[in-house]
Amino acid sequence: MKKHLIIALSLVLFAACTKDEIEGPELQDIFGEFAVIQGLSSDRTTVDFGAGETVRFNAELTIRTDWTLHILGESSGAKKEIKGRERVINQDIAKWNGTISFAPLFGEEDCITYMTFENHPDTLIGPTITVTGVKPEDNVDILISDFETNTGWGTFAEAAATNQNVSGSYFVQDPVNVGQFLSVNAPQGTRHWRMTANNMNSVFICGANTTAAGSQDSEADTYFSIGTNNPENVYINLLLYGLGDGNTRCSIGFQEDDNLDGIYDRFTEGTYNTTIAVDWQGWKVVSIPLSDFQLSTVGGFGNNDATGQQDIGRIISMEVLLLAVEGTSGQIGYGMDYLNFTYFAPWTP
Amino acid sequence: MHSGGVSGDVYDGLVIGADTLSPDTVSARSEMAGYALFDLGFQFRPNAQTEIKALTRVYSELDGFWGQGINFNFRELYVRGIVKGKVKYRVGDLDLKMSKFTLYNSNGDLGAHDNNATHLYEDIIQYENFFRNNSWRQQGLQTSFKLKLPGNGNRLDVMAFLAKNRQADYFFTPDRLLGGGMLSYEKLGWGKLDYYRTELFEIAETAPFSGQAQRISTQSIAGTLKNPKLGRYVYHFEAGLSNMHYIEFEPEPSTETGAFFQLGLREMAKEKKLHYFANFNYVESQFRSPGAQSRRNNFSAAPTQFSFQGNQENVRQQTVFDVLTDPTAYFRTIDPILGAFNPAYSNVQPYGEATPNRTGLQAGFRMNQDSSWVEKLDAHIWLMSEVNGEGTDKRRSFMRADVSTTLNFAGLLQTDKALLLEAYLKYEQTGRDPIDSELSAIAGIGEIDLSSVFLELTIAKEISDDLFIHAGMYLLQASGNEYMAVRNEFNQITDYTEMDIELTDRTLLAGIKYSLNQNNHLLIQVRNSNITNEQIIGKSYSINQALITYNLFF
Repeated sequence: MKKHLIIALSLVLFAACTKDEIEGPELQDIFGEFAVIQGLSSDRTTVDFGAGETVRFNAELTIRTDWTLHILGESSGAKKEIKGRERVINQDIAKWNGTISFAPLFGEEDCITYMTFENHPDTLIGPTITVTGVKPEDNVDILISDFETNTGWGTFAEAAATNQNVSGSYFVQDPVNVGQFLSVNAPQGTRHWRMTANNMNSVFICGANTTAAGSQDSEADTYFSIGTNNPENVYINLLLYGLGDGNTRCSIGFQEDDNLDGIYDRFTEGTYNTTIAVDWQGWKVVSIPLSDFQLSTVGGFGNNDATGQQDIGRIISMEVLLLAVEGTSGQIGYGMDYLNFTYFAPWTP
Repeated sequence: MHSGGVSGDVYDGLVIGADTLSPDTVSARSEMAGYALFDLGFQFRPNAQTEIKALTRVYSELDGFWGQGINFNFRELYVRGIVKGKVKYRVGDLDLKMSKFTLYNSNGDLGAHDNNATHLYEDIIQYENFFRNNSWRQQGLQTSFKLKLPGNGNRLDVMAFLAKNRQADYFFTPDRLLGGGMLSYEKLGWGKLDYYRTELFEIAETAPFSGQAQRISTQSIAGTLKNPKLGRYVYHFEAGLSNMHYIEFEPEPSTETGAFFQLGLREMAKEKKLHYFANFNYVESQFRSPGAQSRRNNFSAAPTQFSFQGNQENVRQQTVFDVLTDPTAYFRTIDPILGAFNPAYSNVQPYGEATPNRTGLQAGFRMNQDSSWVEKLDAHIWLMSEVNGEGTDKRRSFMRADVSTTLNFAGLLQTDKALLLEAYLKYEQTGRDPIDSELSAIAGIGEIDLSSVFLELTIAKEISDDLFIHAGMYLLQASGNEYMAVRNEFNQITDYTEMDIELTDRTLLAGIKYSLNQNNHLLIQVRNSNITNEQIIGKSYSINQALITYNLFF
């Protein structure tokens, strides 16, 4: 009996040694009330990004919820958004190194900061940050087009649309504030590409395309000069202007010359594409790894891949389409500028 | 050719208490239902090594006049035999069972009911759902053989099976198969060493528009050690692990591995009237064993009688009497998803001994015919806790106590006619501390305090040979709160439902039972049930019912 008692006590002790891991989402986040434990603060109020300095933010909430930290340049109108879902927002999570989410670039100016929450109406006001030195320009690895030269791009359309390289500013109806107009300027240089349409009755509106050879990729011959065949290591980046209508879709496609004969055959060779829901207003930096692109599912338009795999070293041309959510009426469209590739990391202007 | 079968004739007349359903202007206040069925089995032996069994059923609803509502079907069909006097096989309907952690059809949430008043219903539920001997009914192929090993009485038993668990829809849902088997080495005078394995897997190619498939593997090693040199105890253990694999899921769920073990002992002296045992269980939260974790009770099924309730025609929640008497309130097959359960009925081990995320001790004793009036006394206690906290670092603690007894006062009253008092008491307590916080926004979250008690109490008096009158009470009372985990198709917890439970479910019944012989019974019974449940519309109602059941096995 004595040995059985010893065994039983050992097992009870073992039972006490249970795991610290929590299974499932935390109850506190689901059943807790939203409240702010610590308001939005930063580790500095003056920053010189040119000297490599950063601004780190802190806040603490009672529950884990979707939040967005907004940084707004008072003079330039540049915007940076940092999103997260943490309960404790610390300097490792909310760190700003002078980059933008929405063009233009930040200047030497005062920036207001505040935090909003997707599921709660509260707003946390943070300190004003004074930028004394701007972030150095972030170089791209391959420039596809900055649209300053007005060459290299062709157009095609299904419906009546504005589909062109534009210089300077133009006005377009504001779908958010009906009766008003948006004044759109190039975020970089003086020119950008515009695709807009109104009162359309179609999903596909119009498109623009360029070949690698016709692009501004100075190293390209027949194919873009991408130096790797690993799509996870290459990002397509661009500045994309949204009207805020919520119905606009931007489709980007890369056409591969799978048999290396110098010609793209849409019936036998693959197109890899992705679609972006353009649901914001303003110029936004968009970066997508090429590994997120999928083989076309449209019959006769690149849905057959002769090699059976994505070959980013064989991209011979690219196309950008303006699409509308089915049943849409009213103003849709977007502007695009400064298309480029970067290796290993997204472009962070 | 041999034949055998069962026939039954059940007549129900029900009256629901109109005064307790005042907000309900739609539901009927009275229902009458019943059925007659006749199962006829055929056994063919085309040769000495082969047997074919087919069981046919004729079923008629009470209203099935002139052939309307009468169904004919095959209820069971299999072929079994032995090849060269060595290898047994069975094709068709299989009854599969291995260990309690790999392939085992655990009892229902309210236990097994073998008292005089409801034992017949329990028999019908087990018969209708093929729950015999805690096995799962599947269809497929099973084979087994034995090898004699060197040494007197040493042997190796081998069993393997492959069953079809689910039919493909040829579009998005693939075929699902259940395969597995066991190796059992027995050394005479020492005990056994077993290896069990089950594989529940889908064939992606059978659903061309999906291409997705999942596979759950479970395996264990179990040992039993019994030798007079080691004293009067039998020692046993079982330890194993499970793996889940997913094919072509986007995003791909994480592959999880879980493990368990059980250590235990029991007393083996057969001549003693008092037997006791103790087990220690440790089951990780990621341990998956569909063959052992699939539940019998299906609380989402609508009761056969008074299926809907309220002006919105909501499905009426099952009551204790529905669980005790309705064969359709049960799952019949193995499912890879951890099924929903009602913590008022069972919260300590709702998935049997293989319930994931549990560790702790079980102990109990059984006393047989201790005196002239105690026919049986069982007591069993569970002291358990979670291995991982669910949504919090605080873990639930569980306590369960079961006591059942059969007392026969005939000897005390000096009569040869039995006077039986049969009782079964199940008590469960679940607790969890709240999240540690001084913030009012989150203080108190996660706290659980739930207790439930289930009592069966029947008195049966033998009036003359094989004629009993009986009266009984069935009471389920539960009070407190719980946070029920909501799981996705991969058994991962994605959310919780907060439940406040205030339930009283009390049934009083009386009846008469005449047994023509051991397999032939006539039962006439009336009952009144009162249900008060804060979770249902109207909060409370009552049901009065009269039942006539005639049952013959031959």
